[in-house]
Amino acid sequence: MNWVVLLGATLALMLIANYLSSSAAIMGTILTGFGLLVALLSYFHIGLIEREQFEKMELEELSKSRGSESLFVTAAADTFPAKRSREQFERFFIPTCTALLFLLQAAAAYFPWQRLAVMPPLIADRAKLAMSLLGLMGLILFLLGKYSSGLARLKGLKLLRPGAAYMQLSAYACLAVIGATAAVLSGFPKVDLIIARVLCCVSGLAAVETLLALVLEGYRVRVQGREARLLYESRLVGLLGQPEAIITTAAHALDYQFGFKVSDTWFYRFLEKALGWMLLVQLGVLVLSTCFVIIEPGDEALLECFGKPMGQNGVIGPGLHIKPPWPIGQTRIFPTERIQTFLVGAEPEQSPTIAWTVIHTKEENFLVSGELNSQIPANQQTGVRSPPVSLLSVSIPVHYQITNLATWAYINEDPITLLTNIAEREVVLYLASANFDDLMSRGRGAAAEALRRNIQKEADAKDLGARITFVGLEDIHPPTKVAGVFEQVVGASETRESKILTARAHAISTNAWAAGESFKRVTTAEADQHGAITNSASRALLFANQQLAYSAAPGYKGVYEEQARLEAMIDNSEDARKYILATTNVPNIPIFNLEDKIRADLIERLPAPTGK
Amino acid sequence: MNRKPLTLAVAFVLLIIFGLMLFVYQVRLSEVAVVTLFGKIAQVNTNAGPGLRLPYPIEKVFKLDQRIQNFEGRDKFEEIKLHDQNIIFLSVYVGYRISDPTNFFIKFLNGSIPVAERAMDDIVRSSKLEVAGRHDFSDFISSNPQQMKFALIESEILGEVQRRVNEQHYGVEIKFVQIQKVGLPESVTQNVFDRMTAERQNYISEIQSQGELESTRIKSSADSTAAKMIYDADAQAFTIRGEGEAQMMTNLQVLQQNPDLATFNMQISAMEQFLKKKTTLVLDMSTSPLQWLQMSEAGKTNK
Repeated sequence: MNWVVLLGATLALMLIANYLSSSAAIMGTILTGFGLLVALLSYFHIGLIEREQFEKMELEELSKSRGSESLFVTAAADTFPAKRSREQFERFFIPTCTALLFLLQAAAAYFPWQRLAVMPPLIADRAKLAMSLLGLMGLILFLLGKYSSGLARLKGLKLLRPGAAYMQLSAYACLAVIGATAAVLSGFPKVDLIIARVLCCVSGLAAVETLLALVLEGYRVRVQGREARLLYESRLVGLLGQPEAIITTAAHALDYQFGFKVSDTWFYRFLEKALGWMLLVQLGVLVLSTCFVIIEPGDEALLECFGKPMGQNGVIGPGLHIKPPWPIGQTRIFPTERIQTFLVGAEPEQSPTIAWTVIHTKEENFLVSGELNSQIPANQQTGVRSPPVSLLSVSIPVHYQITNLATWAYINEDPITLLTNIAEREVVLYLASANFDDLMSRGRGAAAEALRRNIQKEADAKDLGARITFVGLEDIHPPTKVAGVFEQVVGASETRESKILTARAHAISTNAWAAGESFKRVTTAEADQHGAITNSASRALLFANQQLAYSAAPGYKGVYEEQARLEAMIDNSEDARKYILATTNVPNIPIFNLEDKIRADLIERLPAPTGK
Repeated sequence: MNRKPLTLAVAFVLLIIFGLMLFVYQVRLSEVAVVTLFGKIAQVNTNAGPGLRLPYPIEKVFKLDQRIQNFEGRDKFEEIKLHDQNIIFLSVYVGYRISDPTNFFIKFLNGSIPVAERAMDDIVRSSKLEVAGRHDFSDFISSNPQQMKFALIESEILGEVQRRVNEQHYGVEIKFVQIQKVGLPESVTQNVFDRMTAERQNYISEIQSQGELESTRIKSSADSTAAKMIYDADAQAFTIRGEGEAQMMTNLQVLQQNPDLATFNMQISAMEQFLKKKTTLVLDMSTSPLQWLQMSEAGKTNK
């Protein structure tokens, strides 16, 4: 009846895999399906052997009743149809089915490998029910597999062994699916795919083994009376389905290697006897370990018993805590002391230099209002004037801390997304009425503080249980497309300052020159005044003395006049060119060339004419 | 013989675990459990803690999260034409909680949150378009914060969504609808960039003109001051010279005692100046003292 159990298990696993959307469950279904095929083969095989045995018994009875067997000995081949059927079945049908099994195992290893990765994720809401059913099914498969493998040890029932091995493998597959589902629930979504791929590998290895068995069957030495291993029976599946068999196999290998019976040693015997208990103790330790929880510094946890917070509000701090075992008692750990961050706007790339004119992030532009120009006409239909807008590239980090864990965890389903949305809304709202230039210069600090305050107020209104510790406006600047012209404004300011400084330098030099020139002119005038006064005084004194001399020899041709005239001529005509007309009685007509004399050096430096 | 109690023990433990999983369910503080008996709602358990149930498929337990859910909708950033013909992009986010688990469970495929949000998204989107279309651009963006109507717009959308949700008996309470982002169409964005560029060019011209103006002002002021200083100095110089000449004339009044001598002196002085540079004198023998040359020649001849 192995095939009936495996048929039921295959169908149930198929439904559970579909219900749970689990990759591992799909692969478990496929492996159980192979078990169904093998169990069916065994079932028909057993039927044929039973028929053969009945036929043999009938023949023996008949021969006893007739007293002679010479007639039947000669015609054996024609008189054993059941035996012939069994031989035909083993010769043709089993290899064909084994080849089919190989193809299916190979296909199951190859095709799902990639497709499992694109499957929809496991449905967590349905996990618990599915885990219960899988557990129940795994238990049934395990117990029946054990029973069946026990029966297979009896003489004549060895054909039950392949199906029993697959039943036990299916039981372990169910356990693996439960483990994968639990891991997904615990926040490790990849485990489902990993387990599914491990089961793919099992299918692939089984395919290799089946192929080898098919190839080697053709070269097997057939000895009369020696029972051959079943072609469709997998040693790998047997080992995986009966882990204790691995120890036996290992013991045989050790016996062979060391040359004595390792399996007879006390350690091996102890291990063989105590393995089950050890596993059970390990399971107990595992369950016991879920009774303790260690909360790291900076974290807090919510401790729930049957979903209800334990204690006052279920919040426990750092340290070791005792709790009911899983799944009755569950803890959810949150980093309450740690400063957590998120960004409003785009995330900037890591760069040593952040320049407005160089794209350093996928820009996310926010609207900023401009000053309403009174000359812009109002909309004719509505009578409303639309304000001009500017765009601002924004990347604002927001730091926060969980202050009230119970509120944080129990009021909002996704508090982090809600806080992000609140921050984004407050940034949009603030920028919509902010002054562009003020925001990027002296108003930056005030804007950051105002934003922090607004976000905190809104978070408190929504019972988030978080404290906003910091809002940064570091990376807030004009979009890259227009950043260049903003930098030109700085250049223009520099030019303005340069012109003003040049003008100031001009003013300083002009004023200094004017002051100097003024001083010079005044002092010159003062000197002139002094000269005029002193000169006139001295002239007056001189005149008084001259007057005495003049009065002694007055008039024209007087001595004084003559002396004065001659002295003046001698003293002052030293550099004058003088021509004296010596002849007085000849009517000479002197002709003067008053042209300027050509400079001698010019003539002297002319090149001398050559003879050529 | 040893294996039998072990198998039994393992089976017993496993049976207890799976039995618990089949007959007991948990309800968290933030959850409400809807228990169905053969598909019919048998119980709505809002009390946190353990609950008993019949195994699947007789009884099914559906747990609904009663915390405030936050969703943003499928068409997050949507183009909207406003009352004053402006066009903006607008996105909102919504917070809601399950207020009537029975209705919510029935209406939305066993209380499926994604299904409920798909249904509510249509209502939110429609309400958003309707309310925003009644407002002007200046209600969203304004240099005067008092003129902005963010809160009013949000409350209008909230009222509209709540009304429609109540009419449909969705079993949810809309806690808030808030504007998440406001933007402009791509084509308008380029125009905004042009305006921003022109605005900055305006600043640049203004700053440069300020420089020119200030420079000219400083230079002109300096030139003017210099000229004034020169003029003042000249005036002072003229005064000083005048005073000097006045004093000189007082001193020279003595010349009036002998005008002939004074005239002679002035002529002599003038002649001195006259002879100083580049002067060529053509003198005949009668010029004093050259007549002495002529007289000596005549003496030689007489001898």
